Amino acid sequence: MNDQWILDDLGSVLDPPTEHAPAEVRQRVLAGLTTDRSRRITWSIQPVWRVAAVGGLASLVLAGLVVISAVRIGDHGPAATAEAAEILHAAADAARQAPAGAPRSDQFVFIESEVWYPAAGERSGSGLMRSWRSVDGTRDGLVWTEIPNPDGRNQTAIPGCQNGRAPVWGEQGTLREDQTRACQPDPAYLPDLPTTARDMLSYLETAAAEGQDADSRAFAGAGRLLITHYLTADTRAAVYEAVALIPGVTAVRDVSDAMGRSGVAVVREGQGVRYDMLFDPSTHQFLGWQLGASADHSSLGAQQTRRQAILRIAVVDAPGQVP
Amino acid sequence: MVDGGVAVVTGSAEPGKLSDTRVIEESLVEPGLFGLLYDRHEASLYRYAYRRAGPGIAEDLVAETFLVAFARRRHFDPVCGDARAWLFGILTKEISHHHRREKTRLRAVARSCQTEVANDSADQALVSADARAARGLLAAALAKLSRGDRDVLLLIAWSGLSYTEAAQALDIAVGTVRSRLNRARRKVRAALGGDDPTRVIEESP
Repeated sequence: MNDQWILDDLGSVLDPPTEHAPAEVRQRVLAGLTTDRSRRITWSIQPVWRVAAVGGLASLVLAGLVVISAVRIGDHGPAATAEAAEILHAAADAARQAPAGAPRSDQFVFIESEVWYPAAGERSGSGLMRSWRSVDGTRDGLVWTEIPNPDGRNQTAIPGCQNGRAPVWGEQGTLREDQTRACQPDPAYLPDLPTTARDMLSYLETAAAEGQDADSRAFAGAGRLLITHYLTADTRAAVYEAVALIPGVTAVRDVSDAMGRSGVAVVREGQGVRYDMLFDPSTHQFLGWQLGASADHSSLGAQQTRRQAILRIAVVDAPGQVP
Repeated sequence: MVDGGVAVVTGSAEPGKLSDTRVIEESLVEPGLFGLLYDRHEASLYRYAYRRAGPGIAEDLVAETFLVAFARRRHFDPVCGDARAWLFGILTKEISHHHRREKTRLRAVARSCQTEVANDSADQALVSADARAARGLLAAALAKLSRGDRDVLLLIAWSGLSYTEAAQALDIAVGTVRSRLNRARRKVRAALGGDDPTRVIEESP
């Protein structure tokens, strides 16, 4: 089709001078992502999902934090600060001593957490969430939330993915037998994860999505693994030690999690987003993960957008079974 | 409809290699993740918006497209097309608010191509005077198309969407895409070279 040629030619004449839109456009969009214009978000979190009043809640959360400056370690550039590394290595040591073996593929990973959302409306606070996800991703799981959705429903099935197909959801959070969609299994346990810090870091960097720098990807990827997956003792230790190798990771004292538990945080800020990885200061156990707009994000100021405190992670034999 | 609630607990097997659909689902819980979608699609949307609306407006169009998409992400349905088609659909609606500006831009190109054929040395090395003239004729023809026909023609020619994707983006039937495209091409060809639509192009090097 020759008119494609002439259309391409005209298009090239009209092309922008640069491949990408100016950085301000990206900043404007990212700033917009911390406030939610779609009131009804998702059944499990809708009642409490509200935009935090700028300055109010955020300043409470961030009050009294001390950020330690970065120091250079070895030849790997400015890794995590000494204080952050100390927190992470203590957490790794504790993880190695806690028995956590590999689950069977037909089991389910039970995760109990408290999820907090910023509130500026009539509802505020946090709610308990329990999930049962298939170890290998092929079996139907379940998610239960303390706060019901607008239809009064507390639970929804998680479709397992078998032979590339998964059942679709019906009206009441149940799965339809008569209709499937294409899918990829989403295992709650990844048997082949690296067990050394360096390999884990490479994994977190390369397994992450494009568009962010490797360090941000690795840090966010580590947090996501910790709150969504079952990790064996040595894998968990490797995640913590990998985080200690990420440049720009700092320690922040006296941070409270979504349950109000006080902890120490290992923090990374970048591209307008701040991630906190929280640990218990005495047991060195992982407490939770939270994120928000970073303080230097001028148009909004510091703002927490989501906090999730992990209460229990266990392996059970059936969805709905509470250990 | 994707039930976003499940995104609460379905972490990724590989933390970063999320499909667009998964990014959208998970952004229901972690809004910041939606930024990935920006990084993946910004360049192609920006180029398309700039071609159609020009400087000063393309930037707003791109930002607004992503913010509208973010606000509506709960309603994103992967069964009805992929994220790229969805985003181009939103962008097309945003562009439609600026159709007068687009026409002005096209007419300006048409005029400049008619008057500057002889004195653009850098361009002449690449494009013959004939093709240059064709460019102007095309711009003029595009300005005269109906909005619906122009949307279909340019979505397919400039954004690389398939017929099916264009139908999803514009929320119209594939048959409608075909008929609009045929009509648009017929008009463009008539403007370019009368009965022999390839004449102008084949005479160029």
